[in-house]
Amino acid sequence: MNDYRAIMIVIITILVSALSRLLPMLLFSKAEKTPEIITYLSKVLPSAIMAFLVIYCLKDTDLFAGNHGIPEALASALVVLTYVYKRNSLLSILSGTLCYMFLVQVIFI
Amino acid sequence: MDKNTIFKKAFIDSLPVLTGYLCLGIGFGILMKARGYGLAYIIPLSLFAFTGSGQYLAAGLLASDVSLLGCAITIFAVNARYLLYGFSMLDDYRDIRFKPLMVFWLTDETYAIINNEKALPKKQHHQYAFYLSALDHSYWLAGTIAGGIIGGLFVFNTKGIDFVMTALFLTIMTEQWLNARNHLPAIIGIACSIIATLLFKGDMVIPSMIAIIFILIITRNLEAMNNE
Repeated sequence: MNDYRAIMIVIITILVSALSRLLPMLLFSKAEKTPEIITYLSKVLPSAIMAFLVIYCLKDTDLFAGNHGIPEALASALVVLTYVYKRNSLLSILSGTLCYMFLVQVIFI
Repeated sequence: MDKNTIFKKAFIDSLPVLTGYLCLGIGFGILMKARGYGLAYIIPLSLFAFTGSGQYLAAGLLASDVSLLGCAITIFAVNARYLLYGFSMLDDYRDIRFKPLMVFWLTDETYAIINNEKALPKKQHHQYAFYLSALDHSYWLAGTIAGGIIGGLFVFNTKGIDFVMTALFLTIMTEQWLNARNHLPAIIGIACSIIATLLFKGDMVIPSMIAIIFILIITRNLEAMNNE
């Protein structure tokens, strides 16, 4: 049952990824004008979705129990600050993740 | 420029992607292996889905109890930005060879670099785009496979490695925030997701998406009314 779910998720990921890339070409290959609402959404959705994804990743953090979200807050702050100063996503991702792993493995057990 | 020179140019331009995809790919491979999903899952995903954030998300969903529909919507949500790339490449790729493949190969990085190349004439530009896309895909495939193998060789404490996904999205969000003049979409995204999490906990995906799209459309209509 677990394998079934995992295989379905792999298939879904493949199909949905292909669809999201190919859809514009399939819909608008004939040089017609793109509907205005789609142009608008494709402009504003990316930043709204990225914000959603950050919250989605942090949704299981319990602010009122356990570590009260302190490791998450510290590591997130490190990611944002290093990115603002260095503009190097790899550096920010690596330092944030290592910091978080250190915090939950060594400090806040 | 002959084919060799174009390939060299594509290779040099792809070097930052090489570093990035190898590191992120190895991270993904280790994460999947830590969850108990080896190369049999990693290779099809990297070969046919080829989506960094989408695959990290899939790794998270594998360990969750989100419904399959919820999984599809979540992955579509993170990949919705490909719609944007697809739209904006409609012109550039109008009569390119292997068009579906070229569109499938669009990623954040590939898209950015191809759009940055403006010096070559059309046909050579297309060749350049082909080499660059193929190189980027091979880096990602190599990185994730290496991660799957490394993850199986060493036993190390991977507790907290999931944060790599949070960090990835945080950097993209910060980048968008720094570049945007209008921060309203990001604020709407944060507000809707937090409220949906408070109300629906683990089932926050679909309510968040509906609220975000609904409010974005309302704010557009309000702005249109103000401008009249």
